[in-house]
Amino acid sequence: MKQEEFARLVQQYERLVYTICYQFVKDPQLAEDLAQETFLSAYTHRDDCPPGSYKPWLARIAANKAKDYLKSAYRRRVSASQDDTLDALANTGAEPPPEELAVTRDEAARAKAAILALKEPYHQAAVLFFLEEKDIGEIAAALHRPPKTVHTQIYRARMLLRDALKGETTHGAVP
Amino acid sequence: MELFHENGCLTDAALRAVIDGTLDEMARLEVCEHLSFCDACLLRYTALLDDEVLLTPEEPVAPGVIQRIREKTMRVLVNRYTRAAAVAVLAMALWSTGVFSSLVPKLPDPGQSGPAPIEAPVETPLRAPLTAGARANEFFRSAGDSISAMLDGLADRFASAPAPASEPAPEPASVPQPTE
Repeated sequence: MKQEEFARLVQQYERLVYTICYQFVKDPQLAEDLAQETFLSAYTHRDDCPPGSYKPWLARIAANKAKDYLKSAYRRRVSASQDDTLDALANTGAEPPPEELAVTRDEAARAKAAILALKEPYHQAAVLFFLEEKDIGEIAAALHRPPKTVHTQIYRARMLLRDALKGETTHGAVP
Repeated sequence: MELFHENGCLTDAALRAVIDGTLDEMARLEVCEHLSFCDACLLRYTALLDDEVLLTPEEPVAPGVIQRIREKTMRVLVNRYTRAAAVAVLAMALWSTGVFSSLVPKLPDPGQSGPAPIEAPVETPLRAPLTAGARANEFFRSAGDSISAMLDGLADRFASAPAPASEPAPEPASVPQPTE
């Protein structure tokens, strides 16, 4: 595809790509940047596009660009909050005694219930990973999801479980 | 609101919520992640993006994209030619300083002619593998030797041939005269 043809393609689909980017990142300037990135990626891989399938192909690239941005924003936020948590733990000064670190049967039952209560897209991945002890590759194959996506979903499921179990503990401790 | 079916695909409500802009950031990430690999849901989503829904960017995207493509193409070309030119200059510099010739053993001088003495066959020592530079040097050296040998051969042939001036004029072929 020549540059002139590609320029026509950009003009034809720029509203579609911009809209997809905007609907996910909710920032006009950022959406414009991501739309540009989308078309640059499309130009680099223009030979990979099946002829006549430009719309879903560009939509897929735009969704990927938006996903990458949202993921990095999420990671920044989570890592900042983890730093806060670590700071808070460091400030307490004392480690819990070993007997408190051991997982009791009751805690295991609560963890299992929390895993089963997770909603999609985490439920199936978490059940396979935590309860059936499958590895990432097996889960990806079983759920028809990319391994990287399964990895991040397991990571987020772990965070959700931690929050859920911590909430239960706090709830139980405070009358 | 349920964003996902039990089979892991997006609900209609989730797709509608994306278009209406009512999802929080985490939900948008989850939906976007799913759309990045699920063809069926991506087609359902793009089918909902009709002309009424599509937004127009404040600045048109096309000029910026074309500009960036041109810059990228230019950068690639410049890098490629710069690299090629640098390699050529380096090769010339190494060649002119004689680095290549120091890498290979000196071949016998082609100027020493004459019958070679018959010697008992001697086992030739194993040669160390040549580097690329040495191989190039050997190639050019042997090509030069071949050309000079060919020129010498031609010169010898011309030198050994009799001079055209001293050569007697050829006798015309005798033609039988008609008898009267």
